[in-house]
Amino acid sequence: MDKNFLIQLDKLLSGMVLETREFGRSGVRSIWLESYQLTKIALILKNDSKLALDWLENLSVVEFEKSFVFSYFLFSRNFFHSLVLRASAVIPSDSSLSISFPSVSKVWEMAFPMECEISELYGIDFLIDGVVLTPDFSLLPSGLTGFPMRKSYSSCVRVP
Amino acid sequence: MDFRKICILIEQWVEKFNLAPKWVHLTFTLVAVYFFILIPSGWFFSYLKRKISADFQARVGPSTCGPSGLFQPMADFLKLLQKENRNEVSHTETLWLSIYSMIFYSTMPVIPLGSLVLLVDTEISAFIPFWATLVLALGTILLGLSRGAITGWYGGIRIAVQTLSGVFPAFICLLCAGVGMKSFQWSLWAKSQGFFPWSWNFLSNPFEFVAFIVFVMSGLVILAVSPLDGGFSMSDIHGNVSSFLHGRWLALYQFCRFYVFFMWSVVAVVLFLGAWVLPSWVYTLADGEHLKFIGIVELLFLLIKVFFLMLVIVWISCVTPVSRVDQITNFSWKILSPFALVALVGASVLFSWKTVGR
Amino acid sequence: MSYEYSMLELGPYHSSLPGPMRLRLNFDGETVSSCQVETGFLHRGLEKVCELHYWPGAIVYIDHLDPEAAIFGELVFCLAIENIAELIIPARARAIRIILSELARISSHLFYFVRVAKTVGSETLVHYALRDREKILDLFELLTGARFSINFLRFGGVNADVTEGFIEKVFEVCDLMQLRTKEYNDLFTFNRSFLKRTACLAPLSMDQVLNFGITGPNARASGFDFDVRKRFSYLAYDQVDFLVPLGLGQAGMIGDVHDRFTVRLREIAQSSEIIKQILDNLPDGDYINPSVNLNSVIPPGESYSRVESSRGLLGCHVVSEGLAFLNRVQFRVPSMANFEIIPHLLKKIHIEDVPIVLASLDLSVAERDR
Repeated sequence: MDKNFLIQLDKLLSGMVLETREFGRSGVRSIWLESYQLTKIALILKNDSKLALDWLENLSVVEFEKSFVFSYFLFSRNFFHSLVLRASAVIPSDSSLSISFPSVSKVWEMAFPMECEISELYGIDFLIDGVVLTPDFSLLPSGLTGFPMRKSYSSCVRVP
Repeated sequence: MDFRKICILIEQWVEKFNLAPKWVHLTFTLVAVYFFILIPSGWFFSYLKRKISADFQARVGPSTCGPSGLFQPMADFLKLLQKENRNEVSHTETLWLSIYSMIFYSTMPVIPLGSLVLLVDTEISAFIPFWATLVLALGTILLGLSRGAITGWYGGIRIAVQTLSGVFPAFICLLCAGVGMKSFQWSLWAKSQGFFPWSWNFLSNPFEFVAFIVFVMSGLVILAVSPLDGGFSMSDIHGNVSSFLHGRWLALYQFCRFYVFFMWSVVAVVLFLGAWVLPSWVYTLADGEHLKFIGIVELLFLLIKVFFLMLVIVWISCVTPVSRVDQITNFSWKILSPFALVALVGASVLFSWKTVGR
Repeated sequence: MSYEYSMLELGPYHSSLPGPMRLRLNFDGETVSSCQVETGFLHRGLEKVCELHYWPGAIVYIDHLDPEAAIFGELVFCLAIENIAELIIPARARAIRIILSELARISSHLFYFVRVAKTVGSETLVHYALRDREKILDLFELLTGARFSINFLRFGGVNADVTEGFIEKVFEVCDLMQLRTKEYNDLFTFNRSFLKRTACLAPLSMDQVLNFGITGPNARASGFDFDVRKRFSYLAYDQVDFLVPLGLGQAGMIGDVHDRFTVRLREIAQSSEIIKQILDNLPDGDYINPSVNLNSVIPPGESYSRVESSRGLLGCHVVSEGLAFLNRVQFRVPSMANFEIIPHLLKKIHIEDVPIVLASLDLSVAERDR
């Protein structure tokens, strides 16, 4: 990874980062944040002229050890840096309850359809300025209850 | 009992009702035209069109029904006729069905199919096909409105707009072709031209050539023949008036569309491409009994020219994408109409100059 | 004075639409004033299915991510797994994967031409493109046994080796495709009627490309020079010399329907060139890593892999906990962004141009809904 990029990153996000790791074996840095700081950090990363991480390539949610891990795969189209932002949220014990999480749709417009999909499949209410993001339409058939992508979803049977 | 005796018997029966025997001749002739000229023409043209477009598109085309798929068009037509309608016919549907049927029997006597089958040859004969196309457009508008949905209304209105845009230049071209003619009788038009291409109307002067091209293209616009078939060509979203047709209605609709295309091509050939005229030595050789045979040869010669013109249009449509309705109407008003007017003025000036010169 | 007086709802099944989706169009006269897109009719829960199946078995389902170009789904998934498991792909296997990917790209672009030609009313191009596509599908059948869902890639390589006969046929098809692109260019690209229907229609601006995350030929037609094969080179693409076509605005506007058509035409030529270069230097060796054991488990870890599919950047995020089943398989599909742009592109479009614009975006409902 570009040293200048890493230096700038450390400089801007000092004190806001929980943990820094390498993402898989890719050599791309992965930064863990507190979820309440997500939108603020997203704006910093996008607007900074040296980082310019203006492209949200992918948003992935993984259910891991009783929490949802949100992975934001960022990319700079000017400088071709990559970064992975991570935040997590605890899954409620009652699997029928949805959880709230800050939305980044105002920062990266391309996040909107991804968040809509995740909100329906995982039961996550993405908040923009305190207002729940409402998808335009439902991906799942009407009448389907529960959140299919959660591990606790009752109709799932593993096929050996 | 031969056919002549049957005719005589029928004539005698008709005379009892104070009707002239010629109505019998007319009726039989119309029936003969319908069954021995129109339907076989439609059959043959459909087969040729499908085979040629298949050849362009690197396909085989009809190949299984009859020798080289020759019977495919008839098989498809008969199949459609056997299908029953889903719903009862509403009053709006009755209207367009009636209009489409009316176009068949009202314009067939007027089509100039050679001296043998020239049933109605008046001074305004050439204008009657125009009437037919406008009535067809009315019928298609009603067809669209009978759908009771917005897509049908769109389609119907588009047809009206497109037809009107094509009628104006076509009418001007007709007048241009008639410059120098004393009337719009088919027989006069045929007499004014010869067998060889250089004696045809469209090569008589550059303005007539322009008028011919504009006339043919205007016909494509009025009748919505591909590639200028705008409102007819697309699926529901574009307001295709005919997308809900099936069975016998579809057969009537498609046959009528072929019929008006055929009619327009016949008119174009008669006006500009030498009509049915054979070499002059043929006529000098013929006497009374052979005139009928010559009439049949004239008819065949005319049909060959007509099919050639229709197939050239099919050829172009195979390799040309379809335009939008507003693009077609723009083309018609902004390009065809000025050219038609220029052709009319030019032909008139040329004719006046030649007349004065004499 | 303008007013909305009509609404048209198309779908979920309609001949103008690329697949099961609903399109609500509000009209102001004959122009679209607003549009809502609804998808989800083809949601099959593919990502969940991958989690519920033993990890080698998941690959069969991923074929159906984008049925028209199934190899890309397989490829991105295999690359992600191979990254986690640190599997080395033999050079010959990499080369075979590239050949199949580029053939799939050509096939997908040919079907794109079919869709665009159908909406424009050019029946001849429809049949020409389908005829040429058949030759590529025959190649797939020759090698893999299937025309569409080929299920051919395996972790660490491919299922079978290519033969001399196959290589010869691929060369023939590549030569033919280079000839055909010239033919299509001569017959259709600058045909006056085709230009009238496609030029300056629904241009995709650079801002829209960047804001919505559009990738692939749609983005390149608007001048966005981004190709995963160049930017994040995978397999052996860094050893191949090829150009990335960009939109030139030859019909009047960069990023219009015409540019999206011509970019794909040029990509076919480039793909043929890539295949020929690979075949000329086809390495010897194994077609699959012999150390791969399907009975073993993937070690714990995660990976995010990217490929340049025929529609754009296709990504796959895989998380493994070291068990027989994968914890998470998530796909980043290019069609998601393409669907988001539809309401913006259809504004102020004439009703008759709606199918052309939809066809020009190369939408895959199967990919979008997963």
